[in-house]
Amino acid sequence: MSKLIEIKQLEIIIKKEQHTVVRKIDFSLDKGKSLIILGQSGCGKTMTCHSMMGLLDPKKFSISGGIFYNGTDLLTLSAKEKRKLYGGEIAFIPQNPMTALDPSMKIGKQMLETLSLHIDVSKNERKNAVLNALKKSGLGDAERVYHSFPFELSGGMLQRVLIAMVLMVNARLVIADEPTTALDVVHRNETIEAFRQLRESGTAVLMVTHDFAAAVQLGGDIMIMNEGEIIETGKASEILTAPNHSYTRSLIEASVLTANIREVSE
Amino acid sequence: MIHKILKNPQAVIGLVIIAAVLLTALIAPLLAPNDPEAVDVMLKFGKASSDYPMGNDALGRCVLSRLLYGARYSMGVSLPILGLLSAIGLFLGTLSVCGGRVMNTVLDFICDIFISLPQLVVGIAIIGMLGDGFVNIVIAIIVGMWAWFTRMVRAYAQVEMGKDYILAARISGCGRLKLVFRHLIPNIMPQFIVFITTSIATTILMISTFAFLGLGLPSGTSEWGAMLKDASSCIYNHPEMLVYPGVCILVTAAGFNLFGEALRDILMSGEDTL
Amino acid sequence: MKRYIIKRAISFIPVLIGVSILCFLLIAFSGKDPAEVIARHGDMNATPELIEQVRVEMGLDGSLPERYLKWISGFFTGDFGLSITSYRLISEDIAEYFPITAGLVGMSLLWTLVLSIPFALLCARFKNSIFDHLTRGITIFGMCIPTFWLGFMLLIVLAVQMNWFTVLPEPGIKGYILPSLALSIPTICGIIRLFRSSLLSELSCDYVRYAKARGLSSTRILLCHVFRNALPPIVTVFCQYLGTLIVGSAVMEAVFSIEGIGSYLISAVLSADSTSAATCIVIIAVVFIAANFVGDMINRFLCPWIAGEHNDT
Repeated sequence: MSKLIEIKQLEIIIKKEQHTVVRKIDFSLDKGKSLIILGQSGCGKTMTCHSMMGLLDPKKFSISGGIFYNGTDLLTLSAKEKRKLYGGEIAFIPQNPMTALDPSMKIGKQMLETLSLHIDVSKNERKNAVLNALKKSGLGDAERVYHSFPFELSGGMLQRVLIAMVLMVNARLVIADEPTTALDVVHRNETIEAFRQLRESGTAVLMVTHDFAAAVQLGGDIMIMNEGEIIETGKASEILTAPNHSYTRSLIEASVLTANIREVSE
Repeated sequence: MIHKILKNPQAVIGLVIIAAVLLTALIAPLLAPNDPEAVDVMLKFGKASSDYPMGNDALGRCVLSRLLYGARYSMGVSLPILGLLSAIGLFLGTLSVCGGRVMNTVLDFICDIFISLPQLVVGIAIIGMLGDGFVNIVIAIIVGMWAWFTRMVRAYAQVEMGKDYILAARISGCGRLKLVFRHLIPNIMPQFIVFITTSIATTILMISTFAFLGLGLPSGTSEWGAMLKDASSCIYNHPEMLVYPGVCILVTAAGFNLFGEALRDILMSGEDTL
Repeated sequence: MKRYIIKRAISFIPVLIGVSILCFLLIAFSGKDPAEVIARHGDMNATPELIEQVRVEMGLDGSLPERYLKWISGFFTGDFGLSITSYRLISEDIAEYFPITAGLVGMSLLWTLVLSIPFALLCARFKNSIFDHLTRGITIFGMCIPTFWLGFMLLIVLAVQMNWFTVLPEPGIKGYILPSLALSIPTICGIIRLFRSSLLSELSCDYVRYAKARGLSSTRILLCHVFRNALPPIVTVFCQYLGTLIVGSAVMEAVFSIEGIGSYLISAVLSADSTSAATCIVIIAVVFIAANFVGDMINRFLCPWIAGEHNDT
């Protein structure tokens, strides 16, 4: 049986500058597993996950290769088919929870909007489904959050709302774009814990990050990227303790150094 | 920068129009076939001829010559106004940001008063008080618009003052005057120039509006708005008399607007699509 | 919210007082002596004694502060005195002319709303399409059309040549169509450009990308999310235009021979009737300030986070 998601020979080129940001990469991910794409800013990791979410404007980028979800190529789907899949079976967690939601619409309404697009629930049940998801993600006072505007909540709470959005639609694949960079240490730990639980419940988790600590905490598979190419792949615990490639080594050294500085200054 | 402007077709069209109007204003006496004020009742509404390429108006004056001289009024009034307004705006705007809390509050309050009065109303009231005349039009428009310029500069300067390089300059012991002239003003200049350019279009329209309403300029002046007013009585018989001056106003104002908006696009590029 | 409304309303009082003092000074230092004009209107050879008597009757003999208080109290009692151009009570003049201008301006605002929003939405939805380029090209020229010229052009084409309208003012709504259209077209063009760029800058926000990733269609994102968030700058400018349109209607009234508050103001200024002029100006300023206030409230209703931001600073 094929994997849940398989990337084959994916290549992304910025049309205007004819600059290749992702160079024919291959990787795959199965349900109940997690994959971390680690690399410096500009290495093509964000482009990779945006192309998997169909967020790249075809007028600006030319994308070749294939992104196969359950055997169907996402790149060839029509706009309507994509909308059915994205936000439902394939869910996204954006970088900054503070700016991810429409600032002038209440949280509950935005969640209902997503829910009604992807899950077949009767109208009366919808609000309960949203409240349950909020509670599951650790927001005790779900009713208050439901009636709040995004600016009335803290960054950590908003991150939980985004996770609730994933729980609500029973996503089978979660793609997270640097979910921890805008958060402090406590909320980072919570987020990683939520990802762990998602993985245990059978969801595939793809996390793009440059945050070593988050990568170590989540574990699973890891993939190091640099200048649009995959440098090495393997178990997170192995690669982060005994890297084969000199680039990986230098990355790790740099991050250990900054981690030490952070510890000293805190 | 200049290279970028020349590569932008909209900016080039705008610049060509501006240059053409400015040149016309400068050498109107050389271009005009006749004296724009010469009245000849015998030639009333005369058809286009070699002597009078665009015909004659109700008093037999040469239409083409009057239109050419009209550029002098438009440019000759709006450019000095904009020069003065920019100076006032820069001075008061930076003073408001760097001159301490009291200064800021007082200036802000005065600006509030002037901004609550539409520009044209202030202009009309000032001309009503001072009477007709060139200088009075200049004063009227400046009094109507200075608060907007001050507000603009203040808004730009406030954003700029919050930036790190200003802090760095302050820490390194840069004096207040030096800070304003060496750092603040050069850095707000690009946005301010865009604002000035588009304001010239507004001013040109305002001058001709005054002239059309019969405010500020003696009747019979070869200003485009005044010409429209004079021609309005012959709307049935000679509607073409109404067309020309309006086209002149439109093209001149559009030239400045085209250039200003193109400049804005060049300076602040990078919009995204859905 | 309630406290904010009260605070804002109170903050307008000093501005209004400032405006009225400014206008009053214009009256006090204008060239003509209203008492003399009125006295001579009754009797061409009015004696200095008669002029003095009229002055006392009109309450013009007091000191500047006294006269200011008398004039400003007119805004509460409705008595501004006599106009020296129409020889009627200024309040009567205003009551007659103001509704006409209000109709004209109201209809212009209606045109603006109906025409500018769909165009801007289509431009933003199909950015860089032929439609977008065409609209941008036309609007940049449209912004620079002198309204009085446009009025004449409409009259020449639609009234003189096609005979659909008459050159002289028509009774009823039909008489307002051409002037309001001519008055609003530059405004419409300006608002289309502004709204388009406001929509585009909203479209580059993070929440739009996330909304797409949640499976929302582009049209839905534009109409349900971006539209609302892009409105505040437009509401602000729209309310600012209101004051400009009242004065701009003076020009339209001249073109279409309508008797409104704008042409009344101009004729008052031209005949140095400064009391009537200053009264009109203050009324226009009040409308203008009130419009800005309403705009501010609408923005707070549309985008509650504006209030949140305010509390932080």
